[in-house]
Amino acid sequence: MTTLSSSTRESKPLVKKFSPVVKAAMEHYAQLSDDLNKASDHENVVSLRQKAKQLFLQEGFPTRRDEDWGYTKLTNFVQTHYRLEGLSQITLADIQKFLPSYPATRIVMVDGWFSESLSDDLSVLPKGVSVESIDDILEIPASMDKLIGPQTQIDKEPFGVLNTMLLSDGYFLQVSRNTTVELPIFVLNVQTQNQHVSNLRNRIIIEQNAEATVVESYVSLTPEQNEEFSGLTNVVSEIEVGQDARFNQVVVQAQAERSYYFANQFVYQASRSVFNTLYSGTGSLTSRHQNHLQMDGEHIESIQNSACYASGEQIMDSRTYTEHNEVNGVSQQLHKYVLDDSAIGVFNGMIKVARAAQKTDGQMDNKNLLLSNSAQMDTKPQLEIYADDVKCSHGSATGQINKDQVFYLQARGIPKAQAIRMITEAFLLEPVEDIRNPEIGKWVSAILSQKLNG
Amino acid sequence: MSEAQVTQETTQYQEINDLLSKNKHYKEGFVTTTAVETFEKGLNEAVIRAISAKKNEPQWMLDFRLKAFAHWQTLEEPHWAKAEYEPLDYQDYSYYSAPECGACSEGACSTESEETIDPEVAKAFAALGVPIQGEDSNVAVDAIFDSISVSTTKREELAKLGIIFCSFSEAVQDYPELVQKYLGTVVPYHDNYFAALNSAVASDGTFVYIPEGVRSPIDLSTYFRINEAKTGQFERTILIAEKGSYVSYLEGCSAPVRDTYQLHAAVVEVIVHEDAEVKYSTVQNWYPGDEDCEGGILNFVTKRGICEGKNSKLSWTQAETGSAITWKYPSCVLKGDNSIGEFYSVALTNRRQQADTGTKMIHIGKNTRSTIISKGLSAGKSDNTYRGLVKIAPSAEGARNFTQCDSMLIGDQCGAHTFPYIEVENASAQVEHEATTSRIGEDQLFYCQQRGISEQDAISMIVNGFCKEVFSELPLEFAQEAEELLAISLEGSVG
Repeated sequence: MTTLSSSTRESKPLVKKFSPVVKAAMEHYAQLSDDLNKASDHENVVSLRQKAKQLFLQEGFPTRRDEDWGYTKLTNFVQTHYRLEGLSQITLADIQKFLPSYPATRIVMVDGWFSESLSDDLSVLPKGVSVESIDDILEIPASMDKLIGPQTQIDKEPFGVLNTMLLSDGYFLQVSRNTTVELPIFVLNVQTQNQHVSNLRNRIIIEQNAEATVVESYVSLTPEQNEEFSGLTNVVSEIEVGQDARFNQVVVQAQAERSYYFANQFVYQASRSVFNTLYSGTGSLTSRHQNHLQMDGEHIESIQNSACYASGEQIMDSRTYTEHNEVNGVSQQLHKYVLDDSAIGVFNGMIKVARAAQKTDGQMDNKNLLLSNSAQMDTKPQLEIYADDVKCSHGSATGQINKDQVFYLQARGIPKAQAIRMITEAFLLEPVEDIRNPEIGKWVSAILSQKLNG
Repeated sequence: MSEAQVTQETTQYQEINDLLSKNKHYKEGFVTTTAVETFEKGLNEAVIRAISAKKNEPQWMLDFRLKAFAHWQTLEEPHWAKAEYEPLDYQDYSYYSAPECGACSEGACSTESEETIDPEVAKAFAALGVPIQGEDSNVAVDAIFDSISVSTTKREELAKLGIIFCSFSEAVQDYPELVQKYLGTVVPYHDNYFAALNSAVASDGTFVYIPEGVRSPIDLSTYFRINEAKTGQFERTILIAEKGSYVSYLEGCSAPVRDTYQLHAAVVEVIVHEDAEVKYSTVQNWYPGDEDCEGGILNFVTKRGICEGKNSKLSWTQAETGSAITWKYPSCVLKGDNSIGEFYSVALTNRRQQADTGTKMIHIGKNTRSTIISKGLSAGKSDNTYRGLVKIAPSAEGARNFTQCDSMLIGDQCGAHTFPYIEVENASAQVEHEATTSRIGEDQLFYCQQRGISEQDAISMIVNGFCKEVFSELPLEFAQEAEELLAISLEGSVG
């Protein structure tokens, strides 16, 4: 008893304890990693996966006791063990309905594997643009460096560790100096097998003064309206935006109702670069989209928006971590959620302004509309500021539809139900307005509206 | 930014920092020497039994302490706040210290009267400007010196109205049924680490009971003084406002300059019944420590109130300028329909002070409303954090919350942080949160100076303007004191 304080300190658990269900899930994924390693003869890749496996077995899946996972429960998720198998055979006709209305260079990933037959011919891309599959890169041990960016942050995310542990495929996009890619690059990620994991590791490098637009779409191809269909998508993307470069990104997640989606994007921006991203979330039982943005130069601009609609029992989580490290950075965020039924929306945003980042302008807005009394919104807009000459603010508002607005429209002869629909739609689509390419903007709006209006 | 500009700014701040480091104005930092009875350092069951015996407590109180202590031993010291500190050695503190008086040593503290106040202690309070002799001041005071309450003024006057205003130890003796009924109902002993510790070793505190329909004609107040080195102060305050009553309660505190950290872990429980209103104001000016905040007070406080009845109202106002580390979240549980919770706070940190403070508003009843206005000022090398929770339970139909968190940075070595948690589970609720960060602009200073206002006055003006919304909520004398405190704490922050 005399050494109470020291004993309380030491009792901090070094070895985490897991429930039998979680433990079983962890062992399952560790086994998948071992299987991958057995089939591979590249030492670098094997050791990378093994290192991640060790870390994963130690840290495991997060629980609601973890500060960052308090609102996003994984109790259902760990009950299913997702398999990892090869590419299933589907035809272009199968995915036709997922393809965009605008011209684009198409890359198709099926169940986490690059599909050469469904993708456009990548050998005839415009000058300065190269796209390779990660699987191909892994074949050549010397090119490993190309794949592996600054790893430290990935290791802090449980699903990042899982991703490295199951490292298999993804795409690698490089746009060389001064190249402007006219056509958007459309990446379709389609789940086709029930209880299967799509493990994607993407890497995007936009070199100095280059510009590109990437649209990523996550969908499920469910056989005969199988309502029980559940696939797991786990993505890690590392994005480097070079000096004076501009990168536009749209991520559309519309997977099957019982699927899972976890994404971690690590973005590194150099001086005077512009990064513009929108996340549109409508699918999956539990989804979590995370941006980790480092603004490592002067005069950087970034826009991070999200538009999420959740109904039923969905948990929709979108989070951003924005680090201003140099002077004159501008970051802008608008996150909008519409929640119906018993859906849970989660937003977590952090703007961190380092001591050196004077004259920062950081703005973060989160607005939420609750359509049902059993819906729930948990939000944490945070600021951590170490520089004094900055303009930083965040705002968050949660409420229901303004009755005055409905009345205004009704007074003009619009039926109530339609008025509510109009207002809700207008509310949800605001973040889409920041998309530069009008055709992509229209396409995203259509997806959101369709989902909203059932 | 050009290099010349950088050096210019550095020198500008250098000047500020030089001035700040000269600022050693802690006028409350004197030590009182008087005969005291202090327990040996250390914490174990025997100590708890001894404290209880010393206070001649009934069995139920001892049981409460022991239960809390047993639970505390299973807990881990929390380190999630945005403040860095070494784990505390709880065995290195003394858990009971009191000025010696005849009555005390016989174990009959409850009979203590004003005549028995140690003259040295009385002098100390006089120096602090606390009217403990019940002079013609407009306020009733409970003065707490280390572990015990030394005097409670104006009790008779208040008793005529049925108001009970006494020290916690007396209440345990004289009103055991009331204490038993409310103790631990708002902050249970297992609530958190420091609440458990407080429940185990609670020294003294204030007990206030306002009967039905009574409006307290004067402000009630408690002044806390930690004097002895290496002691912890663990006061427990319970405030009960019966149906339709009103009270304004003030709290002040200070401690002498010491070179080792002193611990202050208080628990405050407020119960507000139907149609009652409680205003709870705090001016916290614990010793912040030397330039590096070595030896300052560690202020780990759990304050919570429950708006039990319909139309009840609880309002927390705080001005926080002291302490090396502040860990404090005065909260409102809005249980009664139409009840109102308010939180107004000014927190100023300077040197290496670290403050992690905010509030929790838990909406349970229908049409409950809450307002949070938090103003954080950071100077020197300090970190100032707002951390708050707004929770709307599914039952809180028509609940409304407005939150505004403004931070001001003075100098480029400090940090200002905002960590709000917002959980909404009812669609008819309306929740708004806003936060901004700014600094005193050069143009603002220039504008004032151009009109003949000195830089120091201009800063004071701007800061007071920044904090005005909160100060206007403080009782008049307190508002003045808070403004003065702010001016002293900021003195020399710009050359």
